Amino acid sequence: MATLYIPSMWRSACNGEPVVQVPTGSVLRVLQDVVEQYPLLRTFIFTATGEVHPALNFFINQEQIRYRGGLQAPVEAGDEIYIIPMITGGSILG
Amino acid sequence: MARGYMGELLNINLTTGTFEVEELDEKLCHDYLGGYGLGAKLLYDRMPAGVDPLGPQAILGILTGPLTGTPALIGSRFVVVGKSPKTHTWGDANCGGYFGTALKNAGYDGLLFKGISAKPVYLYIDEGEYTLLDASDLWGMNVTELEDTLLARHGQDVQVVSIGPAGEKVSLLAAIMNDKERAAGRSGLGAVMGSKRLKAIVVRGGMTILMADPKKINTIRRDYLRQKMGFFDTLHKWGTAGITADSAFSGDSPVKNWGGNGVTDFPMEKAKKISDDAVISVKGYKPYACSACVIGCGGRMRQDAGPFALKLNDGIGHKPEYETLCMLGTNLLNDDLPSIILLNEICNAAGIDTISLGGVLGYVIECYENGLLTKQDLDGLEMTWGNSSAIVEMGRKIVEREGVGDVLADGVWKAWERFGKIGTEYAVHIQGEELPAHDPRFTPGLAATYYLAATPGRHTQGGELLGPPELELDPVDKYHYSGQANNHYKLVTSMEVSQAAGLCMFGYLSFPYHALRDQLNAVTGWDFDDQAILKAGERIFTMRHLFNLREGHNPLTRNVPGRMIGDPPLTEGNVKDVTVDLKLLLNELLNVFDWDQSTSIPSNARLHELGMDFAIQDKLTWKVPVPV
Repeated sequence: MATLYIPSMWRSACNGEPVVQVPTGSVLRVLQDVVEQYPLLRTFIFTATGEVHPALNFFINQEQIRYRGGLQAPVEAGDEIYIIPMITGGSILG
Repeated sequence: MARGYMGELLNINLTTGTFEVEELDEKLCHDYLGGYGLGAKLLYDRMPAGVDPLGPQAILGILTGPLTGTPALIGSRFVVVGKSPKTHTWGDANCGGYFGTALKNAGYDGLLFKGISAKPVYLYIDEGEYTLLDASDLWGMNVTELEDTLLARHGQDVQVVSIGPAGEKVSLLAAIMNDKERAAGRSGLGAVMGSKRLKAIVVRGGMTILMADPKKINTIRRDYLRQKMGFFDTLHKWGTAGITADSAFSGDSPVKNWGGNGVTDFPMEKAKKISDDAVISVKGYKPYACSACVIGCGGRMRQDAGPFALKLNDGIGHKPEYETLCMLGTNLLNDDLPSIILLNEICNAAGIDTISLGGVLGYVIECYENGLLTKQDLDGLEMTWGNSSAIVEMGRKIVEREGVGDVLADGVWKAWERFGKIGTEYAVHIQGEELPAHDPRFTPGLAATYYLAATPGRHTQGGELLGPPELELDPVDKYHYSGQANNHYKLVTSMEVSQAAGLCMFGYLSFPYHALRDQLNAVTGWDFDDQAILKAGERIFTMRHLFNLREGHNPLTRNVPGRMIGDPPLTEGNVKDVTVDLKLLLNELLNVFDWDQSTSIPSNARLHELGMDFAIQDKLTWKVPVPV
């Protein structure tokens, strides 16, 4: 399993949890899984047409996924995935 | 006259001490709205080209918008306008607090000052009555002391706009302040106010701001309050301090004077010390809200002990905002929050732009770290990364123009010149304006904003960083530089309308996009549709640009700081390997605006479409340089 850190302002949509355990696979798979676990997160992560919100930035082990293959970037056991929305707040490790 | 306006401007001649009340032209208001839109047109018409920004012919304007002081979300702003002595281009600076509302309640949509007073004065307005009063006893006071004095003198119900000692000493970093700690910080317009020996403006009034449909605007306000989204929650809880750590990590913040990165140089354990919960956990923290604001992004806190104890207001100071936390923190590798809180107080009291101060300090530190400046050059201060004591002391010297502070007090471009042009890559500015705390290597569209807008180096002029919820934009990859211009056009022009209308940008970012149109129509009685909103924004954007062209300034000839676009790219961190193709971004944007690719002069067809035929004739006499 990998660990997904939830932005502070989204935590009310996942019972206040700051981190969620997610399966390995790809970043996209991780996002799909977390909204299955916590459906209220869907509107934060996906647009109405099912695309990942373009204003979201994703990091694996502190590296932008852009350097790792984008949404298909592989997520391995023990990885830490961070989400930073554009212009949001509350540090992701807070 | 459309509603939302008081219908009058007050013109003040400081040389002769005379006044003229002027009725606002309704068509002008419809076309340019207010704020810097109206300001740009008025100053273009009334100030000849080539005026010395610090001379008697220079006009300093303070203007509200039709939504200032109304229930619109969030109608709290006023704008200061003039020719910037820092960049020698169009200059403007936006501010919240309570002054804008108070000015309208006192009967005026704006104030225009020209001339220079023989001695220090301040303007006092009491619901339509106005007079210039002697400020000799106030000259030299810091902003806090000054406001306390003026409130004691004129009553606790007045609002004050003022300059501190920095403006009096004509520092090009000088800001114009309201409510002690709200700043119209950029463009060096505090120096213009100081050059006129105008210390303060004091207003009181209880006049009503009439609205076309008061019931409708109140209904709109209630409806949109139920739809708060976007940036609202962050701003409400932490203010912009909420993004400091995330922005350092993601690549949004400049780090180590734009030469470092937030993963290795300012990692999360450091960044968290000057971010979100750390900031609002300071003793005695209480939120602060501007006039009629439901967000309340400001705050006050107590820091009355320790080496960085605050000296004013019984140890109570304003919460530093993200720009301050980044430029005096992340950018200097300074994780000492108390030092930033104190330096924020020093800047507010003196009336100094914290963004620019951070840019200057970054330059100084990097020159020192690289052996280009010595301790002797810097009055014995060891200006190293993260040395919070030295950072605060140098900041103090700069605001007081003491010792080497006098060399640094006019910004990084002047400092670079005065030091013999050393450390060129460390002087991160465009046309003299130090860049703010959002990195175009993370948000490439910002490079076009910083470079092309009438006021260079500004993150609040619209662009991909700051978009309102529900504004329809094309899906683009931010690092695919072609195909972004249409989005950029919408973001920039809609932001122009929001600003010129007197709204706070944070309202624009926190409520659905159509709140802008709906509120403007409900208050004024006009009937803007979506296209007309963008056209009005384009007209305002263009008007500010025309001011520059008439001055002989072509933004396409501005300097490009290499660090802004990743030339060379960083090798570590979350924006490593990024080099922004600014040329491509600009080429496509110039096409969308229909500005010449070399001169940036708008086409006759576009000027006619915008109703700006006056410029078709005027431009025949303009002489602008072109890029080599």
